[in-house]
Formats: sequence, structure tokens, C-alpha cells
Amino acid sequence: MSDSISTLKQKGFPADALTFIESLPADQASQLADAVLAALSTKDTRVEKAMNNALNVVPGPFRRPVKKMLFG
Amino acid sequence: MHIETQAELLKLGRLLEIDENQLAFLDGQDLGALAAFRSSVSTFFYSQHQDSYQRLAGISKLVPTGASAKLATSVLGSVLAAGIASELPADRAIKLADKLPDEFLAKLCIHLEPSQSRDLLAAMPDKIVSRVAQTLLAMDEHITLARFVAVIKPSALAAITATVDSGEAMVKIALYLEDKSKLDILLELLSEDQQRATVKAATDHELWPAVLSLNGHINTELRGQMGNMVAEQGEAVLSHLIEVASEQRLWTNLLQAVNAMDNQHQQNIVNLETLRKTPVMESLVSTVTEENSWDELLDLLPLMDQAHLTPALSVLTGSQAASLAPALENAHDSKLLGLFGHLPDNAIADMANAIKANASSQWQAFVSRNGDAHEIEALQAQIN
Repeated sequence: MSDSISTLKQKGFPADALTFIESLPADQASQLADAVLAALSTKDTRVEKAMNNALNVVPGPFRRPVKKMLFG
Repeated sequence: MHIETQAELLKLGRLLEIDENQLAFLDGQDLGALAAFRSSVSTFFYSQHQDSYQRLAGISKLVPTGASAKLATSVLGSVLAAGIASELPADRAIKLADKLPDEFLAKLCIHLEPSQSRDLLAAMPDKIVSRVAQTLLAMDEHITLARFVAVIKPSALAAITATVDSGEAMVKIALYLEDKSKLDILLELLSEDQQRATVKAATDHELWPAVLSLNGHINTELRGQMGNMVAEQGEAVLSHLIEVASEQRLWTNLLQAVNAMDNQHQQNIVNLETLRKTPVMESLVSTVTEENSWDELLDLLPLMDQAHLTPALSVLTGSQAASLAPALENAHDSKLLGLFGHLPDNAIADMANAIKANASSQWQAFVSRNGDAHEIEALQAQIN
């Protein structure tokens, strides 16, 4: 099993989608899992950046409570 | 690559933010499995960030909608705003949508997660949906518009379709529909001029594979209506259509369309010069065998004139003679009787030899069911 497929499993990737990937020949399965992980990483970065941008426009006195709301 | 596979890989490529050509290795996979995979991945991506969307939606609820709209356009961007919109109560999301610029709203719609935004889109007022749809049309966002078709209110759908004047857009939206059973509804909303525009677009923009493929999903009445419009396009277009069916193995779809046309159009098409080419006829017979669409073909063979029937029979009893066994097993007996009863005298011996060599047991079974049929007397005499 490729590293990418293992990583997807750890991240709670849906079982039916995993079954589809694993039904492919090994090289194709690895290629598709890589693409899914790369897309997830891009989306993670985008969301994180937007959350930080949102925090930056909050006026100083409110920043701490808003930060708590956004990031827990 | 089949046109519907291309469409599916384009959607998956968008989700994974890569060029669809990088997914070409998935060609040949079951279309339903690919669509189910894409849907699961899309839901998974959303779930990975749902907590963030919920937190941002919580903050958005604390400020006036005008300020939320400003925050969305200036700081968050359309991708994040799409996630947040899905986590807002529908009434709040609608108020917010009304304050967002059309272009931003359109981009936001591109990134909405289908399973999470269904209720929101269904509740969206017609005037907002129409505005956004016009912007999406101008952006050539046919995939997003196709998603709209499945969930927006019928009144909003009617309002949008009334304003679409691009045949190319209509064909592409239809091609990208997730649920092709909506195709009938969509086509019935189009005026005759709009339907003709889709046929013209097929020629102008090389969309015949899409049109042929979609034809397999529509009801018989619409198929006849659209088929007659296609048949009026003239010999050059129809010959090209046959070549497309041959290259993309879309014969069954084409045969269904021709069968639904008026009789005069049927005769014109089955007697096109292109159909006399051996490779074209071999492609037709092999596809019909593979897809078991004999009944569709057998209805049309008797409409061929002698100049077209002879090469067709030559393929059927020559290079594709092995297909006679599945034909005798799977085609409706009355349709086979129509073919055998229509055989020219000089073709009976070749057909008898081909049956004896390739489909002897199937012929015996056929005869046992139809022994008293006058259509096979001459052929039976030759075989015996």
C-alpha cells in the first residue's frame, strides 16, 4: 500500500472512495491518492490563510475573543 | 475517450484542482463509480473544513449582513464564503447573497459543496438565481449551471432557460447534468428555436458526440422531435454524424435517434453514401453486437435501398458473420423475420452459408419458434 493511501486512511477518507482507489492498478491508485492528498493540502492552506486574514481585520480589542471563536 | 467520461474527468479534475488530462488513466472506469468517487471526495473535503466554516458562520451571524458581505468579498474570498454560506441558516444566507456582487456570488456558487448546498439553492429566490445564472453563463461555467438545474425551483429554472440563447451552453449544461433524468425537463423548457440552436451548436462546436450521447437519456417523443431537427441538417452534416458515431461507438444512440424520426428522414439517413463504407458498417455491426441493440438496427435495414443493403449484408455475412449468433439469440424474432423476409434473392445463399458456419444452433432454435413463417422459407431451404 502506498504512503498516500495510508495517509488518506488515517485522515478518515471514506471507505467507498478508498475501495475505488484500491481497485485500481497499484501505480494508478498511488497517482490518484497523491492527487487527492495534494488537493486537500491546497484547500487546507487556503482555509487557514483566509481564517488568519479574517482575524487580522478584527479591531485589536476584539481580536482575542474572535481568535478564540475561530481557532478554539 | 467517451464524451461522458471526458465530462466526468473534467468534474473530478476541478475538484482535485488539476488538469483533467492528468486523470486520463481513469478512462475505462465505470462512469457511475467515478461519479460516486467524486461525490465522496467532495464530501470528505468539505468535512475536513466544516468546523472552520461553522466557526466563521458563527462570527458572521454576529455582524450586520452588509459587514458580512464586505468581509466575504475583501477578506475571505469565494471559496471560504461558499463553505460559510452552507453553514448559515437559509434566510441569513439569502440576505447575504442579496448584498454580494453578482460576480462574487457566481464564483461562490462554483465552490458550493453539492450535498451541503442543496437546501440553500432550492430556497434561493428566482431573481437571485437568475442573476447568478446569467453571470455563470457569461463565465462559461456550465458545470456549475448543470448543478443548479438539479436543485433550483422549477420557476427559477424556467426563468433561466428562457434567457439562454447559446446552443453550445445548452448542450454543455445538459452534458454535465449529474442526474440525466432531468434532461427531459430541461429540453421541454426550451423553445423550438433554442432546440434548433443546440443542433446547430453541435455542428459549429464539434458537439455531436455530446448530443448523440445525451440522446440516449431522453424520452422517445423528444428524441423524435430532436431527431427530425437533426435530419433536416443536410447530407454533409448527417454524414459527419455517422462518422462521429463510428469513431466514438455511439451507434446505439444514433440508431435510437433515427428510429424516432419521421419515416422519410429515416430513409434519407440509412441511404447515405457514408454507410456504404465497409469500415463504417463493420463498426456499426460490431457495436450493435457488443451493446445488444439489434432491434434498433433491424428496424432500419429494410429501409435501405439495394445499393446500401448489399454492402451491409456483405459485412453481416462476411467479416462480422460471428455476430449472427448473438443476433439470433437476442434480437426480437419479428425484427429478424423482417430482415430475412427482405433479403434479395442473390443474398440468400451467402446468408445461409454464414448462418451454417457461425450460428447453426441459434438458427435451429429460431426455426423451432418460427417454423411456419413464410419469411424464412427460402433461407431455410438453402440451409437444409
